[in-house]
Amino acid sequence: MADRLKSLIDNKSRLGSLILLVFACAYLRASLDVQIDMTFGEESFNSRTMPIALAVASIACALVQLLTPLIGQSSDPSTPDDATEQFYDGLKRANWRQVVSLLILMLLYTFTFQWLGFFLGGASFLFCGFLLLGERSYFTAAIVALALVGTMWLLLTQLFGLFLDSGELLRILSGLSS
Amino acid sequence: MLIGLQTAFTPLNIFMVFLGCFAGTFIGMLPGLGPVSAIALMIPVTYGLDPASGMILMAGVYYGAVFGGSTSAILINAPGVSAAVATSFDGYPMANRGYAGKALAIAAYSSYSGGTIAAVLLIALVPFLARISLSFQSSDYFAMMLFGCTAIAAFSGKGQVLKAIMMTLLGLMLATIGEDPSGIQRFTFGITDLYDGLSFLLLSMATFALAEALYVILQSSPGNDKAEAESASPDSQIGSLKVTGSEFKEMATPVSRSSIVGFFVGVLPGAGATIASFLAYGMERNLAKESQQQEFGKGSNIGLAAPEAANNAASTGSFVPLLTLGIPGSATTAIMLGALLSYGIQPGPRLYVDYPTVFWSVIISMYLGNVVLLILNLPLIPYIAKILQMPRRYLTPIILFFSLMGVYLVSFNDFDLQMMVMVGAIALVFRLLNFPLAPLLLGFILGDMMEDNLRRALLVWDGSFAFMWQRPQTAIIMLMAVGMLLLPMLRSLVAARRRSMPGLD
Repeated sequence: MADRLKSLIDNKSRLGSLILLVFACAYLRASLDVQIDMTFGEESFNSRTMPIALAVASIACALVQLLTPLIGQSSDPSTPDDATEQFYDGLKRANWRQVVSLLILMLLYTFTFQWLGFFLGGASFLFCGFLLLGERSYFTAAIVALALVGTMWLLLTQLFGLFLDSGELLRILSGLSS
Repeated sequence: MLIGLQTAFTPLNIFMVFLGCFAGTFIGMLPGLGPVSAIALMIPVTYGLDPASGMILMAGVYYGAVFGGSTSAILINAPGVSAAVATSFDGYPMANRGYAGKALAIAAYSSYSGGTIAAVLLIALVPFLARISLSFQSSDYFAMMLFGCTAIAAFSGKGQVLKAIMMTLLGLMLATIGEDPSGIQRFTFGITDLYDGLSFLLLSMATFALAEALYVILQSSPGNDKAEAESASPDSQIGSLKVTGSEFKEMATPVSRSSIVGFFVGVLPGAGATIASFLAYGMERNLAKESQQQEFGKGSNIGLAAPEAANNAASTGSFVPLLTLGIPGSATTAIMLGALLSYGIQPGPRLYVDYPTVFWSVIISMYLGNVVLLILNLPLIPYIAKILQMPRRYLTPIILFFSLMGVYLVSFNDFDLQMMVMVGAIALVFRLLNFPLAPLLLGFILGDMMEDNLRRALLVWDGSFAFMWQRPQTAIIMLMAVGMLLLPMLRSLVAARRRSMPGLD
């Protein structure tokens, strides 16, 4: 069983198809829970029609890709061969540390946005981002981050008249918030 | 028309075109601030102007913003507007190969050609086109959306057909999130932030800008941080702006064809520049020679020129229903309709008679806008393209910041930012698994309109799908869609047959 499962996902095309198959099945399940507006009686096209059709079509396509190894194999380099081996080797050697760090940094930025606001949040994000990607000088990173976010803030608020949240922290510090 | 020429060529109005194009290009380059925001930002400025000058300024801003959107799509793979998505397919790889200057120059020349051809068509065909655009029904629009989806054929190289179809379906599924046309919530799971569905900008920035920036970092060597940090990005070459005579010759027919297609698609209310650019891209790939087809997606001149010409021509075409019928064909023209109404001018069949100065000066200024864009942007290209010379350690966080900021500026909602990071991470996984992301965006863009028009068509036809073969306009478009999808398959079948029978060559 384990071998069968392994062979099912032994190439990246089929792994992707498996992810899409799982998503389509979950989507189909959720489609069946969508409410139907019965104001005008039973209609041939209701709120569920399109989602169900899309889910069924996606499941069919994913199954074809998963269960018919011959489809696309003649020209697709992602068959279980050297190309796939190279792919997994490449993944092992990839720069995951920086990518994961940046993803965490972005998530931190989005979750602290309301608290830090546009200016402080943006400047902190850029400062940390520069350092994460190899900038050695804290001073340069801080100057570039502050200058860029400051310019954007001035441009958007003063020239275009857009409102940008200054953040709870600045409001507390300036005594504007209870 | 003479009145229009006289009005458009006054020093004040020429200045307005310059100002509009410059401001539009600048605003359009910022992710999140597309033509709609650019024009909306200009409305207070136009209040102090007479109607003709105000409309000329807005038309300039419109063209500038469309071109600005293409610039960010080409340089950093961040198409801030849906019409620029197809531009990034070949524009970004071309910039990556060290031809950023040339890519921007081709975009400028193609936009100019598209705009010029469309302006000529507009002047010649305005009354006739107004009647045609009115005759289009929901079933025809549905067929148009399907036709637009056939652009996935362009991503079907190297056994990717099924993957492209799956990604289109995923895009269509994501488009169903939120309130459906009958007002019922779907797939929102009680989260109020999802009631309006996912925004195009969120998906576009996450799948293109964010995923691409992370992918590039992923490929860089982890043990070589310092060297990486010291050097500029590997794709920092701006390259020459020069487009050779043979390249111009190669692009001339596709650009003309795409401009005509783009203009006629733009005339249809609701269709717009996005579908035009996808259609042109798919069509030109199908019509290209086999050697040229291989280049699509890797930095093809035609692949960049065709959607650029089409989206600019469609922008011009979208003025037809606005000026002749008073129907805004797109969000941008809807804002312009609001501006016209605020001047006390009612667009429609009487506009031509009651306000000939406004009518013709706007049309003439469209052409003028294209000329100004070319004059203004060609000398600026080396400076704009210098963005690529920034060291990667600065460029990547700035791209990520601008993408996040662009999405925030549209919704002012931090839930969208969180969603964007998650979608970006998932898109990176699909990018690694070699699944094309462009069809996902195509499906998402067309999904809403497709369902809406199918629902209306079925209502009109009493729940029967007979409109697909009984209504001639719909049937013709459907046949074209089927042909577009089958053409690459037929080609590969013929090629395989030839290979198996060498004597045939």
